[in-house]
Parts: sequence; structure tokens; C-alpha cells
Amino acid sequence: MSASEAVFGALMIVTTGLAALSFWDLSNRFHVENSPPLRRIALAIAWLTVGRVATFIDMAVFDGPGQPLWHSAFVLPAMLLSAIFASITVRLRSRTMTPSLRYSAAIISVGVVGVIWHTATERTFSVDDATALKITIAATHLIIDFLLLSSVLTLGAFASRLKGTPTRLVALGVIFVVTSDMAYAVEVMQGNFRLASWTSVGFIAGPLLVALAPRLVTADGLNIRSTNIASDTWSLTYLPLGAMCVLQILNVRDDPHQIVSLTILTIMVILLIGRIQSYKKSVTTLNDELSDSLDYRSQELERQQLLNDRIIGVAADGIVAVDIEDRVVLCNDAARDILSIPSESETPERLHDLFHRDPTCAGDCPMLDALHQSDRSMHEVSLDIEGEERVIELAVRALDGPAAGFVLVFHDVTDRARLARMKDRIVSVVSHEIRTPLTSIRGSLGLIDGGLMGQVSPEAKRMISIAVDNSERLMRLINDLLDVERIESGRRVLNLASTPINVLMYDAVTVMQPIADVRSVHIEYDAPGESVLVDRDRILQVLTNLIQNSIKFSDPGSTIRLAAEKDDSHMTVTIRDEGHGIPASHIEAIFEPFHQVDVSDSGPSSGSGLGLAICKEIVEAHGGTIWAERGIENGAVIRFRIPIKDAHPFNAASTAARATNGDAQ
Amino acid sequence: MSQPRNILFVEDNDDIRIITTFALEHDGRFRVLAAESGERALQLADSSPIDVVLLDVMMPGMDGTETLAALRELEATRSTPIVFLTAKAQPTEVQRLLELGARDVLTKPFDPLTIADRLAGILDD
Repeated sequence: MSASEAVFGALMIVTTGLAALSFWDLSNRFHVENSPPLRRIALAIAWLTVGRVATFIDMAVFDGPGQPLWHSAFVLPAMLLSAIFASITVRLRSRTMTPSLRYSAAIISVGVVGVIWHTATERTFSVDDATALKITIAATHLIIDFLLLSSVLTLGAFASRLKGTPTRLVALGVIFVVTSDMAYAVEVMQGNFRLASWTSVGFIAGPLLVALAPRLVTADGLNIRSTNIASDTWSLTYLPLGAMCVLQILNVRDDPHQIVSLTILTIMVILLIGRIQSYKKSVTTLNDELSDSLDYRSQELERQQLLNDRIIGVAADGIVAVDIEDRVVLCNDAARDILSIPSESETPERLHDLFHRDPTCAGDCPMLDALHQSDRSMHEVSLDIEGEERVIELAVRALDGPAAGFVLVFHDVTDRARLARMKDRIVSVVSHEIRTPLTSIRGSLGLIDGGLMGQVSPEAKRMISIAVDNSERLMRLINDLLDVERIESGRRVLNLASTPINVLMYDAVTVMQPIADVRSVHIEYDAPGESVLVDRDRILQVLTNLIQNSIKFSDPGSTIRLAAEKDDSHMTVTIRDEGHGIPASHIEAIFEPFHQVDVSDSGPSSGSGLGLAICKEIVEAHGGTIWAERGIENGAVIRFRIPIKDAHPFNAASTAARATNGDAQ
Repeated sequence: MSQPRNILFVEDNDDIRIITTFALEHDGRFRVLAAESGERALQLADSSPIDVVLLDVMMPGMDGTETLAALRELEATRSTPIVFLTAKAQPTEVQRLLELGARDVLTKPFDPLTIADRLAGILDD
């Protein structure tokens, strides 16, 4: 064994070992799905390294091509494994491998035929001591070389879809190794193999390239990218093969047998090229489809994005989105208008600076805490915007997933709030201004009616009595108006107590009996002794309003029936009369304020058109519902349903005093 | 029949003052000292013994609640029952007035013929 052979052998071991370590290191660098295949490749190369050590020992002990070629026991499985792993890696990435498999089979078949032909002619073997084992092993080398070559070319063809340059380097490195190994197999069969010859350069250069490849892999390089196949595949794959063919031709130009084997080799090369072309075609098609689909999707996304942007842009409501850290990620034009932010560039980064702007609440803003208290909420907040108090109505929704945070949709309701306040004041003032003269009128009439002003004629007394009735009606109207106003303003405070429903009915009927008697209408009631949690006066108001309504539409001699029925959670109260009934078109509208079924019905019995609206407000304030039905034969049925337990929205603890009406004695 | 009780009736509206005074006087159980303003009421309270005060809430100048506070400052009316008369019938308003120390709250409009009974009831409690 010469010194150059020793150095060469050592280099072979070192470079192959380096390649194995390099892959192992790569598999550790990325704990991703790529780790197992990378480790398998490292293992295969490690095995090859052991094979190289064996080769070295072979050379040192037998001084020439190893006699039993026992190092091939390591080299061959390593190369076979590499071929399999390279195929697996590619197959993992692509499901369209059928043409390539056909090409592989063709290449292997031709390779086998070529080797058999060489063996059969024997003329290729210039040494006499070529044993059958040696030839078989050398032939196996060739077959596995072709196998590995086909796998690695596939890998090279898919390089752009795998990891680009690093994959191409691996492919090129393996091609070097395979080329040298093919030469080795042929030279062993011919008996003229020398380790340190130029045909063996691939044993060192190949592993070096393979070792270098993982160094070029970056984290994002592990992601599959979709680009067109690089044209350098040609230089990487066909040039070494072409060079090998040319060298062979130079070698064997005088020998017809060698020309036959070269023909076989050329057919294989053509098949290889065909195979690569088929890959390229399928990959290109796949790429085109992918990029078409990507283009379409990105256009679709772009269109959707544009549409969303426009919608958000033209929305009249302010829309602000923040992430979980309360950083503003979106703020539309309307939001800037409402919050008086002159331009996009001046939009504050923090939600707090956008809304509250109070520097005193550092990191602990009660307003933001309130906004974040639940996943969905509505708020009305007062903001100081450029020294002016503005009232903003806000809907807040929490978002989860990748865009976690909150979306705030809001509008300026300052004008509405001002109007509401003004309306409150007007209602209050007007009602006061009406009550004061009405007090005088009612008072004067009361004194005359009471005989304090001396005797008046029966005609005058009748007139006075009409005036008293009407002033009282006017007063009821004002009270009704105030009731509606009060309930609608949400200032309704319920004074809740557990009250038996039959007691409520008894009280209501007692109050209304005199009026019913005047119209000769009977009132019957039937109710269980169950209690409901209600504001007694208010539910009494509902009952008396409903009874009064029924009396109004009942003919003399007819009957009004009250009933109450309890289920698991609610009490349903029914008031049924035998009167004119409710036209179908009015069934729902009768609960609207100022709605009257028969507008021509005037006179002292007609109401303000607010009675049922007030009933509705009161029942709803108790968390209940009220509705009307047409009677089975004739007449009207009105039912209301209230929770037995405490389930109403305005459950404010209240000690509201009973308003004592001067004339209610 | 017992000695008539003295009512201090404070009401800025002339009509209501005249009508109510008439009704109360007519009842026979009361003698009415009518005042058209809070200031005048304080003068009357200072000069005559008062059994009960019927006090309007909304008045120009000194309003009902201010008058109440001033009457409580006077030795003579420190603990005299005070009944408010108001055009605001809202429970919150009634509650507010009761919390100021009023014995009762009457809402306008009222029947003048029933007011004497109401006041007598309060005094006899």
C-alpha cells in the first residue's frame, strides 16, 4: 500500500464520517418532521464510513483490491439504504411517482442486462483469478449504484421543491460517489483498480459535498418552496454522466466489446435523461397548478381584503381593533372622525390613548377594565375629546384565535344623549306647568261641586261634574305620559315583594268593581294562592288597566273572566272578555303607545292610548311578556306571563317610597 | 270642637293658595296662615305658633327644600311636621323629599276637599 493510497484511504474515511456527522447535526438542529429522514440518511452514511474503514483495512492488509472484497459488506448496504431513503424522502413530497418508478425499473433492468452481458463474455476480465464471488459483488455494486443514482437524480430534480441548493449539493455529492463506485466496480472486475487513481476522486469529493450541504440549510429553508426547477439540474446531473461516457469512449475505442458495453451504458443514460425529463414535466405541471391555484387564492384574498377594507372604511360607525396587549391594530376613518384624530399617522398606539386619554390612570384604567369585563358588552361612555364632553356608545366583542384581542364598534351619541336630557326636562317642566293650572281648575271645581260656593242649579252641577271628570282625565293622561316616560327612560325601579296572585286579583277587581257596576259588567276571577315576586302596585296597575280596557269594550250583561295559571317558572294571567274583540291587524299594535283600536270612541270612557303600552313596559320590566289573542267565539283575550322567581332585568334594591296621591284617598 | 290648628301654607301660585286656603278654612279644623314665598313663611313662623306646614316645592326665590331647611333652623318650627306639595309625582322625587325630613308628600293636582282630612290625620298620629 503506497503512501498516496494510505492518505487517500484516510481522506475517504474522514470525508464520509464528516458527511454522516453533518447530517446527524442537522437532524438535531431542527426538531421537525424532517428529523427522522435526516437521521436515517446520517445512519446510512455512517454505515458507509464503516465501509470505508473496511476498505482501508482491505487495502492495507491485502495491498490491492481486497480479495474477498469484504468491505463491500458495509459499503453495499449503506448505499442501498441511501438509495431507499432518498426515494422515500422524495416520495414523501410527491404522490405522482408512477412514471419515475417505471424509469427506475427500466434503468435497473438495463443495468442488470449489461452486467450479465459483461459476465457472460468474460472477455472484460483481464485477470484470471476473478472469482465468481468477486464478479457478483462487483456486479451488485453496479446495480446498487444505478439504483442510488436514479434515486438521487430524482432528489436533484425535486431539489427546488425540497431545500434548493443543499439538496442539489447532496445529489451532486452522491453522483460523485456513485460515479467513482461504478468505475471501481468495473476496475475491480478488470483487475486494474487503484485506490488513489483519478476515478476514485469521487469517493472524497462526494462525501465532502454531502457534508457541506446541511451547513447551508436554514430554518426557513426546511419549508417547501414552490419555484420552477432550476436549469442547473442539467449541469449537476448530466455533465458527470457525459464526462464518464466520453472517458469510457476514449478508453475503449479499439475494443468492440467495450463499445457494446458503452452502448448499453448510453441507453441507460438516455433512459435516465428521459426519467429526469418526465420528473421535470410532472413537477412543472404540479408547480404550474400550484402557482395558478396560489395566484387565484391570493387574488381572491386580495379582493376580499380590499372589500373588507372598503367596508370598514366607509362604515359610519367607528371601528377599532386591538390585540390582547391593547395595541391598536385597526382604526377606520369614522373612528378617527369621532375621536378627533386628524390623520392615520397620528393614531395612538394604545387603546387607552385613543379613548380615555387620562394620563392619571397609569396601567389601571377603570374605563378599559369595564370594556374588557366580558366577551360581549355594550357601553355608553363619556369622553373628553378636545375639551368637549362627548357621549360614545360602544359595542365590544372579544376575538380569539390568531387575531386575538377586542373589536370596538362605536358611534357618537352626544346629540341623542342631549336630546334625551332635553326631553326629560321638557316632560318634567311641561307636566309641572300643566299640573299647576290643573290643580287650580280641579280645586275650584271641587269647591263648587262640594257645595262650598253655595247652591248651584242641577244643570250647572251637571256641567261642573263633566268639568271635574275631564280635568281628572287630563290628569290621568299626564300621569300616564310620565309613567311611559319614566319606564322608557329605564328609571323604573321595582319595589319587589312576594305577593299571592289571588290577592292581587282581588284588589284589582275591588278597585274596578264600581266602574264595572256602572256598565253592568260582571267580573269573575279564579286564581291559585301562589305567590309571585312583583312590584305589587305596578302589577295592580297592569291588572286594573286591563280590566278597565275590557270593561270599556264590554256590552252590559257580559262577563270578564280573570284566571291565573302557574307552570315551573312562570305565572300566566289571562283576562278574557265578551266584548268587540281585537281586529287581527291590531293584535300586536295595541301595545304601542297612543294606539287606539277605535279612534272614533271618544268621551269620558276613552283613554290616553297609553294604558296597554304601560302594561307592556311594566310586564317587561318584570322580565315577562304580554300579548293579545282573539277570543274563541268573540271578545278579546289578553295574557301576560311573568317569572315567579326573581328574573327581571331591573332588579335594583329599592326602598322607593310609595307616592301618595292627594286625591287617592 | 277643639281649638283650630294653625297651618302655615306656603304656595307661590295665587289660585292654588286661595282655593286651598278656602277649603281648609271651610273645614273648620284649621286656621290658615298663607304665605306666597319661603321668605314670608319664615316671618310668619317666627311670629305665630305653627302646628303643621304645607309647603310647595317649586317656588321662585327660596324653594321648598330651602324653606324646610330654614324652618328647621327656627326654634319654633324645629320639629313641626312638614308636608310637601309637589307637581313632580315620580317616586324618586317623593323619596328625595321624604329623606329631607318631610312627614308626607302630596302630589298635584289634588282635591281640596280631602286635604283637611289628610292633614288632620298627620297631626293626630
